[in-house]
Amino acid sequence: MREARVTVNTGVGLHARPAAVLVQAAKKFACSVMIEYEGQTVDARSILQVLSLGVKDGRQITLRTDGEGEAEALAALVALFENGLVLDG
Amino acid sequence: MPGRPSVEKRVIAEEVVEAEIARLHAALQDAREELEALRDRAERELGAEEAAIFSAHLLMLEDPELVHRAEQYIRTERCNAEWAQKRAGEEIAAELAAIPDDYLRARADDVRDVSMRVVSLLSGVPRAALSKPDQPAIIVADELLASDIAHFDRSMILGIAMQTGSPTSHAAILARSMGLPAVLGAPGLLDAVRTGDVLVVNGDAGEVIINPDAAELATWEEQRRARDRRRQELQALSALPAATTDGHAVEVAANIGFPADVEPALAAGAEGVGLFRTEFLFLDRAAPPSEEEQFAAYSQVARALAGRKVIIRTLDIGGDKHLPWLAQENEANPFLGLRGARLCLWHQEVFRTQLRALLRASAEGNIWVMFPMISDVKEVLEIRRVVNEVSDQLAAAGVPHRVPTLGIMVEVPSAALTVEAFLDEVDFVSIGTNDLTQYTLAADRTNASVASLADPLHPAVLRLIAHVVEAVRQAGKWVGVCGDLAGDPVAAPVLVGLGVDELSMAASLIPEVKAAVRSLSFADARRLALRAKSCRTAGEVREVLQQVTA
Repeated sequence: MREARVTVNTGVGLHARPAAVLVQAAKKFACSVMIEYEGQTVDARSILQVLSLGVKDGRQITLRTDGEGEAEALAALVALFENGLVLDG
Repeated sequence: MPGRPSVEKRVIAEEVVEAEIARLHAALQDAREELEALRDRAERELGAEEAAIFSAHLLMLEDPELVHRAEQYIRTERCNAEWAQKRAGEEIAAELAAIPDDYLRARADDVRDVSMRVVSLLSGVPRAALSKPDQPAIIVADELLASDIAHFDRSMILGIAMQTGSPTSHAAILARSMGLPAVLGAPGLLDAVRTGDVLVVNGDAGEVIINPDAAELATWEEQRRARDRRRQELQALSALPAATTDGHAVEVAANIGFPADVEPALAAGAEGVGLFRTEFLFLDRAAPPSEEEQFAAYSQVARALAGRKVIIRTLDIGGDKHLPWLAQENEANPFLGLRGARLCLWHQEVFRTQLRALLRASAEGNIWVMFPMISDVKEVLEIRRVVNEVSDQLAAAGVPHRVPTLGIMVEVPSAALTVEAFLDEVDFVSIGTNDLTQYTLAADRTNASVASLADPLHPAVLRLIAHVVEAVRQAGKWVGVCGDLAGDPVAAPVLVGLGVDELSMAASLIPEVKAAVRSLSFADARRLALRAKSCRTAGEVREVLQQVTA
């Protein structure tokens, strides 16, 4: 199991398009991907659960990956957050 | 007034539980196909924002939480899939609605919408029953979901009024895009209205007037007619082509800086986009735009134009604008320095990313691409080499793409004077009269002491334009004008008379320029252009043109 703290830096918090980008990215990995915020932990592959966290812009969350390829998955997701949850070509 | 499929809970036998779950998944697959089709149609007919509503629905449809809960209900309650799905959807919607956040509460509507789509598929009760009343009517409901509205037949549905909902909801966004008068969030509406009542829905004021008396109704109808008339007049004028009295047509297109500019441009009568400035993607940000972001923007504009062409100009910036993510040297004279295509050839990674996005978008829409600040044919040869490399790379990776029709901006005098050489390498040119004038007259139009020298109607500029047009005609290619001069109705006779194929300008200027073109004959325009070219000063040219309108 690996984890990292990242800041949500999208301009709209963890909502709308950025939330969708996260969910679609998380779905690609074999390992599980969880997000922890203010004591709640949810499955990053569920758009409804991610949205229900209501993470505001500038706040930090903990990313947790567990299983096959967990290190690569975590690195990829951290990079995605650093890019403001915007897809790169 | 619409109803919802009523869903009853039925207990099923233990042996068929797994089959019922399979039936749920089959319905989910059908729902996915419906939503994808709705999304694609919304993208084509309405826009990216409306299409995004259905993209969001798709994500929710596949949400493990929603699917899992529906499956759980089937198993633990041993019941039919319809009821399980409805229950799961309502529960999750309620959870979202309980969060004190407007955005999340609005998402509760989406969850219910998606869930009811699946329920409809499972129970065989179609939702389309709503979309066609038997006579033109206003739909009144407690709630209409975004995808209900998306199905509406606009010829039969005159307006909507909802007891719940808000002006910022997805339903409101769709209604607005479809031009459907709508009032949302009117408490007590259903108690006050009965089927058959006469209603006035005033979307602007957010009012629903029930059974107005004859006089009031007449006033409302007059208002509606006056609005329709005004809209039609504007439409008629702007929709006419710009053809001279003796039938010589000139394309009139729009200059745009953002995808959002397309709609107003089309409304103003633009026949295409003659200049799509791409700088908005590159300025005011910490890092250059990704290929995906660019591809999305270029495709969006091409789609919004529905087959009309868009001429996209590659990144056109220089030393006067400092980009944090680009290593730029300080230049003593940035306007005679590394800018436009020169800058792109210097920083090729950025250029290649833009080209990749452009080539990919060109496979999906009518896109031409032009390069700014071209002064020497070797620049074009180098650009073509890079374009071919990018194309080969995309082909090797199996990415759909097309090399678009390529052209250059003619804004540097050397390019104007030797345009024949360029016409061997590109298929069109667009004359940027702003910079062409400044470089030709050697005067900065932002410098008050010399600004009057930088007059685009100076004979020197007109002669350069004439030379370019002649060479283009000889080569059998295309020439447009995208500088400010194209949007000046006073200059229209000269430009038309010089024989340009197209004038491209800010949307708001289109109706007047079209009117100017329609007001004269091509024969007169040609005579005028000849006279203007042989004037000695810009002042003389303007006097000649004054006599036209007199």
